[in-house]
Amino acid sequence: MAKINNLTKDFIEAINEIEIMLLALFFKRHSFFEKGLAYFIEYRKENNTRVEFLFGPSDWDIEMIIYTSKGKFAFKDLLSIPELSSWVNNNRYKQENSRNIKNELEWFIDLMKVSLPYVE
Amino acid sequence: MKFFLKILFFFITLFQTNIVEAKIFVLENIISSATFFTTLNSEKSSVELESIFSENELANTCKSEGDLVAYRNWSISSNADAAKAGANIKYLGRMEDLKGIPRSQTILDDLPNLGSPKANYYQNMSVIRKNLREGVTFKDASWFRPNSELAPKLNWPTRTVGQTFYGAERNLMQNRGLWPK
Repeated sequence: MAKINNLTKDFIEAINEIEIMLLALFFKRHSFFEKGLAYFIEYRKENNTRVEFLFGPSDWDIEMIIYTSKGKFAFKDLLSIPELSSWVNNNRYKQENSRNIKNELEWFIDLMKVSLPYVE
Repeated sequence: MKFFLKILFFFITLFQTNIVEAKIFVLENIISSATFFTTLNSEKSSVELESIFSENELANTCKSEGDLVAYRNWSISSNADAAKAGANIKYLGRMEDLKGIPRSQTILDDLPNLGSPKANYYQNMSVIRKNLREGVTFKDASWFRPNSELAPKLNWPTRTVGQTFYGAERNLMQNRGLWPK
């Protein structure tokens, strides 16, 4: 946590704020893993569906990976499902002047809500 | 007659006893001498064998004393090299592929966010070059991902691996001939 920057601080605050949305989807925090300046936070549901949020260098992008009994689904895998691809096209994330990590996380959770029926 | 027989019997008994004792005495001597020689031989043979084995071992390992020193030094230096190489291997790759790699074998600690992608790019390249100068060997943790594989981000769903920072790192390593193209 020594070299923590504003973006990382925003991410950690945002993940705590959106946790209630994950709880509503029956996901409980399972692990919080820090490697250098990278963060790996995993939530689990009772049916063993897992969702992992990754954040760190060098891209500093949020990545979401869903693990279900059917396999591993990163953003690119979700885009290969036509229904989800069209949802992403119709609901493009619009970035304002500066990055809003909380909004980005909320968009990912919306994508997860749409995706779960297809991947679980 | 009876007296004569008694004397005869006495002498016979005495003689037999002497023979038996003599036999026992002689046998004991033979056995003890045999045991002594066996012990002596076995001790001798084990010492001889030991020296033969050690001579053979040395002879097989090295031709001269100088070679023995060189061999020992090679062994010490190769162990040191192995330890050094283990510490000097680092991995580059997509974040999800770096998750299982020890923290000390990544450069994740050296890449704080500088605020803009351009500054982060220059920092990234600088950190890699510095590590290469220090003798670090970089390995590709995401070798199985081609540059054409999708690596979408929120506002750029068509981005590929080649267009990420990792793609730039891979490009740098390939241009230096350190990674296969």
